[in-house]
Amino acid sequence: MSTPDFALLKLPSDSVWRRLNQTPWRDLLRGRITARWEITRATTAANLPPLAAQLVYTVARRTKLWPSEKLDVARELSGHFRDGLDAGKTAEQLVEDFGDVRQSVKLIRRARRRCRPLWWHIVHGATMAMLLLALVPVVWFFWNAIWFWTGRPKIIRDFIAEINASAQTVTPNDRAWPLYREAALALPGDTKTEMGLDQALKYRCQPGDPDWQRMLDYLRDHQESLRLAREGARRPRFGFVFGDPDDTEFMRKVVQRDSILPKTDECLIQTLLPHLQQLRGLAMLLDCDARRATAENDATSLRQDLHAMFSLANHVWDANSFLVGDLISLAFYSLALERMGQALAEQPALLSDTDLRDFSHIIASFAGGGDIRPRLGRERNTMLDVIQRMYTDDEQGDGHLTAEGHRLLLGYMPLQLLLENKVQHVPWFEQHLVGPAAYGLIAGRAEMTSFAMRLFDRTEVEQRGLLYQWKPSSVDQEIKQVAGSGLQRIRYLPVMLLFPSVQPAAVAGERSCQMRDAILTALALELYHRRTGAWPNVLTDLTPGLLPTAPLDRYTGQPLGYSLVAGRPLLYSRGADGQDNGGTPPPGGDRQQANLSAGVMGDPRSPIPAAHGFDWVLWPPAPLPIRDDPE
Amino acid sequence: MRIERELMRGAGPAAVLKLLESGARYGYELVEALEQRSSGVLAMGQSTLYPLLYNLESQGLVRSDWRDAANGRQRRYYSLTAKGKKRLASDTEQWRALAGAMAALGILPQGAAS
Repeated sequence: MSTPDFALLKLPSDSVWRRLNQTPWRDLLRGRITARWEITRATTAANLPPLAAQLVYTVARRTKLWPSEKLDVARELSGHFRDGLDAGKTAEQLVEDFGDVRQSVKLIRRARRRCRPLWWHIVHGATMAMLLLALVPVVWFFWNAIWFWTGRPKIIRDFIAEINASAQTVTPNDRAWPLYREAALALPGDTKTEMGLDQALKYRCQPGDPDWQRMLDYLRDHQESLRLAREGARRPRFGFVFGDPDDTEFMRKVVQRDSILPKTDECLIQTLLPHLQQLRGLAMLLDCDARRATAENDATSLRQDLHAMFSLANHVWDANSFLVGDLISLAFYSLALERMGQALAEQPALLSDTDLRDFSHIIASFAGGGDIRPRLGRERNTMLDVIQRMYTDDEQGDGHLTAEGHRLLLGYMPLQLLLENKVQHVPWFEQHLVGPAAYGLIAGRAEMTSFAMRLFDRTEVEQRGLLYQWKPSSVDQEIKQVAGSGLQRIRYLPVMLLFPSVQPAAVAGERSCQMRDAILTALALELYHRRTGAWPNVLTDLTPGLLPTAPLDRYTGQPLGYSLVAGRPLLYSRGADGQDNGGTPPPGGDRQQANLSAGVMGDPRSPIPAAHGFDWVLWPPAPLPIRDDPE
Repeated sequence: MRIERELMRGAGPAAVLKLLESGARYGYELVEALEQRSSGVLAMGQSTLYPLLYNLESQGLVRSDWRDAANGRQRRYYSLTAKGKKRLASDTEQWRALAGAMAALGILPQGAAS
């Protein structure tokens, strides 16, 4: 006899517990322990020898059918064996002829289940479907988890090295930064608050005011910084190199770190820019001295200070270090324009014709001339750097989210924490459970890169031309729309978190352009007046001899507002409301109010309510407010 | 001679239906009849026969009922249903066509289909 393909089960002993277990509930409720489902009843009734009885018991038991079905199978198989025995065969022969036991169990189970009633098939099908549905996300999660945990980002591009490449070509004698650095180191840490200069600069600080003396004292104490700043401004290039060992002392003083470079596990966006912050102190120092020079008829100092202020703006622009760098450059440029305008209005004869022509060229050539727009190249690189640190790289431009990337995203968000160089604690749940899920939801590397670059491209296209030609930013609208959609927001989360708010920066560029055009016109007016002894009736009288073209109001596209008030020229823009109010400035001396737009993230031309009925007076500068509480 | 499983899968149900055409039979009887009438070619053990019968029953081709046998024991008898008869007729046609084709190809002797 051949051995069965798996061990036969030993026939069970007859115990009360077993009898209870094999009794239907219906019988138990009637108080009878019938053990009607006991399989061995069938083998006993057929009077099978132990081997055959064991086989029948094993097959019936292992089908795992309902008890009544098992009993039915056992009865039939027992009958079969009995018939065989009665026909003269031995138990061993019959067991051998039985066939494959394991296969038999499987087939009998499958076939008997097919014979079950319809309701069972419906319930079973529904249960299986639900289990499958429940299984799909589990399988999806673990599939994602495998890729998520095994992927590693590959840092290919060293963006800092790319930024430094241009600056490192500047020869030492052409570098302005080392002189600026020395000048800044000699200034107090926070010039504005320590000296109270912010107040002095905001209101009409005049000779004789207590703040005026404070300003003069400040200038006297920092003559060396002033000298160094002017000297640095004469150098042709900025020449700031990220990670320059010569900056170590400076960095220790201003940021309490040896280097401003991001650590190896940090993003480009975490590069510190303390040098730009410190340059603000120098710009303020030069501005103070320009005020003093104007008040004291000191043409030489005024000329030097204005030159230095414009150079400083040019140098920071030259550094091309992120959007914020361009905005700081624009702020320096606007400050220099304002001081130029003030000097021209208060002391028109202080500067010579040659000076005026020189400054016209300097002013017109800032940022290459034309429309001034903060550049997005560094912002693009910042985005690309975040992406390369989040994703794997298949060297075809695509890749998937990694655990490191997810940690980066979670650990350094919100953005404020990132900018403060603080790592947010990431809960275990978010790291281990949200991560693989995020893997399945967040866009792949190629899609994420394409989405971000497309937004940058469109932003640049949308902000071409003059301000009045702009439409509400479709990029901002799309970002808002994506941010408001749950799944889409997760899909493009890095872009949602890091895409810069460009439109306000572009509006700042437009305002600088408007100021530039006005001051260039003011310089031309002064030259015209010196030549003819009179003011022109219209601005086109200045062209082409003193101006290539008549300036435009960038808020309306019309010629810049020009009138003669009390025999003096007045230049103005119609401002955000687009209405010509005859050059009426807003009350209280808040000159900026007239050119402010409501919600610069929306329509940049839409004015704030306070801008209605007023114009943006560009030159001569409107009077500054009187200080309310002079000390 | 042992028949390949795939061939048996097609021939087995038809053979069982044919045996039941003449009247109800129980399992052991079917095993014996299959072995004798097919000269052992279509012989199948319990492990194959009973799942086959349960499948035919689930398809409504056969029905089963427990009956008292002459020796006093109970046996489960299987008999053809009307649906089973139709299937048998259909299967017979198909097997004849198949046998004819096999004969035409020289695999079966001429006249085997009849």
